[in-house]
Amino acid sequence: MATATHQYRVSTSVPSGIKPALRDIAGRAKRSYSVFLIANFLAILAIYTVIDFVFRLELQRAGLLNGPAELSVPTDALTVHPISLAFATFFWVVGAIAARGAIRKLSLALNDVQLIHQAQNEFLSIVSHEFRTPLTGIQGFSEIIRDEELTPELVHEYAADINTDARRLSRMIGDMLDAQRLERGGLQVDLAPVDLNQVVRDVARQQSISAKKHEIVLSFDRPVLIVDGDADRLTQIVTNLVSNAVKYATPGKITVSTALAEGEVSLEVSDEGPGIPAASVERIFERYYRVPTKDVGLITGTGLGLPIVRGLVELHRGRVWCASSPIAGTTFHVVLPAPTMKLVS
Amino acid sequence: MPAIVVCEDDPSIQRLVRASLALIGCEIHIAADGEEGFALIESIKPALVITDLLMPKLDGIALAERVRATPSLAQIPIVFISASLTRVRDIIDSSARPVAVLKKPFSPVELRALVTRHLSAAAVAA
Repeated sequence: MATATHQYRVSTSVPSGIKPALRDIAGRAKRSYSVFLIANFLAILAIYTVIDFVFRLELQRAGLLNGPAELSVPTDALTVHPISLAFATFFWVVGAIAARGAIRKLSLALNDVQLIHQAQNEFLSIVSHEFRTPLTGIQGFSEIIRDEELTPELVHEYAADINTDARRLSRMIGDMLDAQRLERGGLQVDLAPVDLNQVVRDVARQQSISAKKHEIVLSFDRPVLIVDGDADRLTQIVTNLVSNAVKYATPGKITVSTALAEGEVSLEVSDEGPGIPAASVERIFERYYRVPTKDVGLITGTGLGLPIVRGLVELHRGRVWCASSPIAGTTFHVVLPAPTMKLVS
Repeated sequence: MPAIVVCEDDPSIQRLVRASLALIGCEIHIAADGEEGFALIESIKPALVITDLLMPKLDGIALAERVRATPSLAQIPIVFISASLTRVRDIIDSSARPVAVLKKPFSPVELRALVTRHLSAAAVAA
């Protein structure tokens, strides 16, 4: 079963209540299944035996049971006729196959319930951990402003800190809502001609503020590259990819390039390492998935950035994938359809 | 002026700790990860260490255990800051021997009181 191999960066066990409950349901289902098979066999056997008996009785009453003596069966006793046995066995097998299929489906469903529950649980623990950090800033700095005699400069500085943390919190909540709306298909994009290069320049300028150890390099094959896109959502796609590189890549260059080729618009975000393990490359777009690392301190963010990127790219009728190696680093490729109108200059 | 080493990877919490302790009158040195933190502790030999639990390179518990295993640093009081309640047990069960564990979000007043208490205790002991 494919979903059984889910792996999460932070591993908390399924809460004690649900696991025995699920095991109990599965156990009861299996017991009911055995009882059902035996009952099914006996019931069919009984029914056909009685039918056979009544049938022979009726034949005798009608004076029709006058075959050879060795074939005549006494009518005053219930006997198991070989045809009854054959029918019972046949229906028992049919019942067994049907019930086994149902049980298998049930156990798959139970497994899914368990995985979903586990993922939600882990997500909750990650989210509560992630929310506490900006909350600490907001609560702490506002307390200092409230309780202490501060110079106007310090009040201003601390208010800016509160503002930064509040924005961070708001982004996290936004990410959670977006991920949920993407999953339910409730997110709409307003497609209009947008200069992708301008989006990239704006994101790079914004990200350079926090990227102290990285140099963000831009590479365009033309000054203006128009795509049919939702400007805010394209900004979100580029921001998530670049900020991931800032967060996880070793200090060095982060290259963001765009190009138009073969009727497609491509956007690439590359870093210089350390690369993503091959086993994780396939899975990093999964919701809540985190790349396993020994570096426990690197658990940051809600783990929703890349699933959101994929969802938004798909809403733009594009595709996204990732290529990574420990030597060359990681490159995220986004391909969007070129605009249908001749807007590319 | 007593020195304090703060090991914390989040810039916002770094600034909050600095702001919370501004009135105490102590030297504050900040490290953004556990490795950098240990190097600072080794070179400064601070009167107190405040460390986050989850940090890149070396987490708070490993950092504290390394401090405890170094004879010249073993007696430095360590205060933990943790956003995860479930990990508090891990801190207590480890050989980190913290003097206190503060849960995020923490109050600056609480942090200041804690630090003042341990600094004066350290001063008396000295």
